[in-house]
Amino acid sequence: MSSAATERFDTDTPPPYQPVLLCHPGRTEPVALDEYEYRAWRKAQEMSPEQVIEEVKGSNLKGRGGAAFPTGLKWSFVPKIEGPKYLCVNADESEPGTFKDRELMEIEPHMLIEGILIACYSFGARTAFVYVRGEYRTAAQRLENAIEEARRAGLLGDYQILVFRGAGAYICGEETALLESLEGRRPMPRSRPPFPAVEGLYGRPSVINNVETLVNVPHIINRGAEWFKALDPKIFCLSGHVNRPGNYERPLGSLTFRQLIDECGQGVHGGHQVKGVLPAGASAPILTADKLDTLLDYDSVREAGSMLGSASLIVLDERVCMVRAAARMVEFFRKESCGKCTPCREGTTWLHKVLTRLEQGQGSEADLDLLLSLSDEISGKVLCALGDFAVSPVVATVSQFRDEYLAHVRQGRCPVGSWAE
Amino acid sequence: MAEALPPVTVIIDGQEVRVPKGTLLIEAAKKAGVEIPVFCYHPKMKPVGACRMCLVDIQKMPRLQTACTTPVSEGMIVHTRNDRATAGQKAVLELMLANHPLDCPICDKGGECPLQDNTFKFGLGVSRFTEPKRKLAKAIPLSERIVLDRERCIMCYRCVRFQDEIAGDQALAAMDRAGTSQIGVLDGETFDSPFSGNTIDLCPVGALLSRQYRFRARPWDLQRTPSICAGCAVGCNVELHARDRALQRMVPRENMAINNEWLCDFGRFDTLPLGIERLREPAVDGQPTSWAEALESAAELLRSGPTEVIVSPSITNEALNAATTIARELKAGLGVWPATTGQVRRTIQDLVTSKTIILLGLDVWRALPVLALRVREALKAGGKLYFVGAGANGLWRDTSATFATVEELVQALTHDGALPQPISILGWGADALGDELAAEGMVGSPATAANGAAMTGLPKATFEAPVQLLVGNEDWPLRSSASARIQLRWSAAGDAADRPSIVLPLAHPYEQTGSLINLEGTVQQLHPGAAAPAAAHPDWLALAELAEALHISAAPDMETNAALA
Amino acid sequence: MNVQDQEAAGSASPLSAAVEERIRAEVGRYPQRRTGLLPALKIAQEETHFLPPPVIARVADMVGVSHASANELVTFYSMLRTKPLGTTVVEVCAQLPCALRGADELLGLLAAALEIEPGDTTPNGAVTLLRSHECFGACNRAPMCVVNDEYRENLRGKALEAFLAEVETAAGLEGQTS
Repeated sequence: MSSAATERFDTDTPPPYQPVLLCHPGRTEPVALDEYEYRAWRKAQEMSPEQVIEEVKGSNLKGRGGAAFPTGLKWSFVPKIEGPKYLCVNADESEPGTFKDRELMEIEPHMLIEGILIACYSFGARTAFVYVRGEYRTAAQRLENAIEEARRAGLLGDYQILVFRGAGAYICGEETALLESLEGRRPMPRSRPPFPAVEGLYGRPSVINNVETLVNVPHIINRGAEWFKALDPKIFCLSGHVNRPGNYERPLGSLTFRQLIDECGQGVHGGHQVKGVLPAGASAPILTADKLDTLLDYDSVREAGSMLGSASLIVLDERVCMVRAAARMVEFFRKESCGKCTPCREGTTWLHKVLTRLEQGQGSEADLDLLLSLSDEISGKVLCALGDFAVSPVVATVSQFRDEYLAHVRQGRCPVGSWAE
Repeated sequence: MAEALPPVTVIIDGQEVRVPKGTLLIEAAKKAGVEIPVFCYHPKMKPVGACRMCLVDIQKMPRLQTACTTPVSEGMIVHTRNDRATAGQKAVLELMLANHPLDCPICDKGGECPLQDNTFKFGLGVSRFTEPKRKLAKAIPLSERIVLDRERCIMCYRCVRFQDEIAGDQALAAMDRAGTSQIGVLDGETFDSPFSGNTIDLCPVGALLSRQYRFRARPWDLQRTPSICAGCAVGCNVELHARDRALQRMVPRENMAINNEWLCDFGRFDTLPLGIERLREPAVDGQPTSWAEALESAAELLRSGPTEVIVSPSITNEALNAATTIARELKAGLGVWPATTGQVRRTIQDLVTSKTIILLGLDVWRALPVLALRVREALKAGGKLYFVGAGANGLWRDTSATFATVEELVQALTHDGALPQPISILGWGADALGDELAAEGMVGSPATAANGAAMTGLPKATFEAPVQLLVGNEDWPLRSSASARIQLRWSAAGDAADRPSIVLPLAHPYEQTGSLINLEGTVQQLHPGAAAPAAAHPDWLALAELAEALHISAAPDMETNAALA
Repeated sequence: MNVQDQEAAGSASPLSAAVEERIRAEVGRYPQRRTGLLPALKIAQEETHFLPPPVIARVADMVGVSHASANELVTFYSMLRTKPLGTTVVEVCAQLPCALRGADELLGLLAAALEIEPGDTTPNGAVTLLRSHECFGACNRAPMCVVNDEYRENLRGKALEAFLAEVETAAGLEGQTS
């Protein structure tokens, strides 16, 4: 916790956190140009591009799309050669339980634009594409309006920011699939090497950054790397069986799962108990209630046996049927698989078929071993992370909730009814 | 690409091998004699790492890696058959076979199927898949040539990538996504590309198959004979496949100097004498007769009045030699028809390495299809293509600029300096422009017929003589009532009204020996891949016998030709 | 054929001149024309509501790609449709966060109100009910659905009742639920 946050004498109750990113809580209309100062953009242009990269490196900012790759380091990979280079902003937010980039684009479009400009400046891109998922019509529209506002005010100079809308494909959130989609091709991830920094969009050096990553950049420039490093703010998306689902910004490692659920989410809905929390949407193993005191940061969650990823926390209460939950999540991956590589294409289909049978009470105990064996055949053998994510719900629930699976097998049906209030 | 990269040492399954730095591991393994199974990888196309069949265990890398996308580095230690790697191979095959239909007994690919072979060598013996398999359309006629079975497809994308990277027309693409992904064309359209047949060779399963060859034979029954395609002047190298001496299909042979490893559909499918009525015996005035009698009647007719000897530009050199001798001895006219002859200097290899290629109204895509693919190789290496004229240009997707006249081209492209060499120029007027630009590549107006390059000196036939000796299987112009014809051909003669006085049956080019000269001047040998009808003779033999009947000494080296048979 | 020939050839275009102008402008925005293929298909779909082969072919010709390549995108992306749907499309999010807040029940209520199964269209062609496997990013306002590309969120209690009534009206089935 930074010293800046503890100015009061009363140390029993820490002062309420002052959000840096979602700094207009409760707002529904976008922050307009006349309410936003492009201070960091002006300051960055007085630094050298190398200094900008050093500052971001020093801040320890990590990618907020889920991979947590150091951002400054990523920018430094772009070779200093002539010819076009591109920034592609990944606004394809499609992981179940994730809605932070949506709010950022709908309310703080100028913060994003400023981050985009500074990023482009740092590694020599003149054109940025913002790849917005097709379903986010409001976000895309507000962003386009803000870009036009900024352009007319002369803030863009000779930089160009193009909003490109997707058309319904989760895989486009994968870096290289996003590039393929931008090139007008079937969005299937590419093999690496070569890496996008060297051969990206149109074969040119490119950087792909998540929306949330970029909105941190103006603050790093304004207030310095050291300040940011100590604060390390992250937006946590909280959904599922909590009283107040929503986006909550807190410093990484400043609170536990339990504290987020109780203080921000105002506890579990209807007086129920937490059965488990998915920390990263559908893509990481579920953490059972005994792990609720784990701190919300990448290392702690990894030590607890899962991954924080994009920090999309889905809370499940004790009434939830884990078999049905697993089947629902695997259905997502099955249908969103692009189909390029054999293990994901065939494996997610097979997993889902077995899970569906089990959910309907038509499975056997041998099916559980089959599920684990198939997960092993898929994991680590696929071209991109989707295949690896897809086995997460299977492995985590079969190993931690085996009794529920067996109940389906023995009773020949799902023992649980509705999950709703 | 200019200098050779320094070699590195890699150890694959305990074997040391030295290869240039940056070589793909899959190629390094080949050099080491280690077999890594593949499906989507093909050495002539960019690797995609889609099928995952080539997963191997590389020391110090936590995940298995696809050998086809991994460049080697110094000291890399690779295991392709240890527990981790074989677990990966079995996993990929089990998943690939999960929805693959058990069609082997009725699938043409059986016996030459990489999926069968890899499963046998690298897969599990049984599958645990007991769910209902996905149902997709089977035996869809994608075009007149190709039939598609969607259930068999393993989505290796070789066909799609071929049409994209090699042909450049993107005539085939993927459809849908996830578990129901398939390949196809727009609803209501066909797989329309002059190179579609190559996807049959490339497809590692029985998904894309030849309609012409469907259900005709099993690969282990076939006799295979190397020969040359008789479709055009490129002279693609081929292999003729016959069953019990009956021709079944033709596939390409690799020759990097000529056709790379491709064929065009016209050559592959349409030059075969399948389903075409054959001329089976000699006939005089429509009456079947013996060779001896027919030759005697022909000799008499030829001596009876002014004669023109007219040759097709697709007959062998040996036949041309005999025809020339006959014409000389008879003091007859000698002409070629159609006049699809021509000549170029330099070779196809020089075209492939050109940096500037200019087509003077020549639609290479249609006239010499595989040559268009070789042009595309030059473009991929940084060359540029220009077209002069208003006519059709099948390479329009790859053409940098089109000009109305040569003068416009020269003005537009040389005002900044010289065009990058080597420069290749093809079409009418190529030589003049070649001189002007000091072109160092392939220059000239190429022949387009199979042996047209051998007949550049021949004038175009006039068809005016009262007696005409027509040699070769062309669609000859109608005979005037004042003339009499002797035809040597392999397909049944045409309309009765145009019935020649005398016909002599020939073997098809794929049923005989003989030599052809391709557009760049390379002499290549035909070999018989199937038996001709009993009474049909090779073209050079028929003419030698005719010369004998005329008491002319025109016999080519019979012994040599017999030995080549 | 050259690109221009491709564009000009054939009979009357299945697209209006205004839409073709928008497509040309869109394709011209990008460093490479092919980037405009997906946006062009979406622009065409705005007018024709779904993308039958003649429309796909026309867009392909205008952008300068093969018909098969355009078809590849159309059949891949969920938001591009190859079959006609009802005038009003109601797509219910059924992914986990919404399912936890009653999405399956919402789907059931809508199916009952419309008297159709998810995936079908009412007999009069007015309303299509779809179940979506994807997450729409509205998990904090669950359950929800997308009606003709517009988000309709927080469908609980009174809001749910009003929504059901609205959907029934759209389908011409007023007053069917209490």
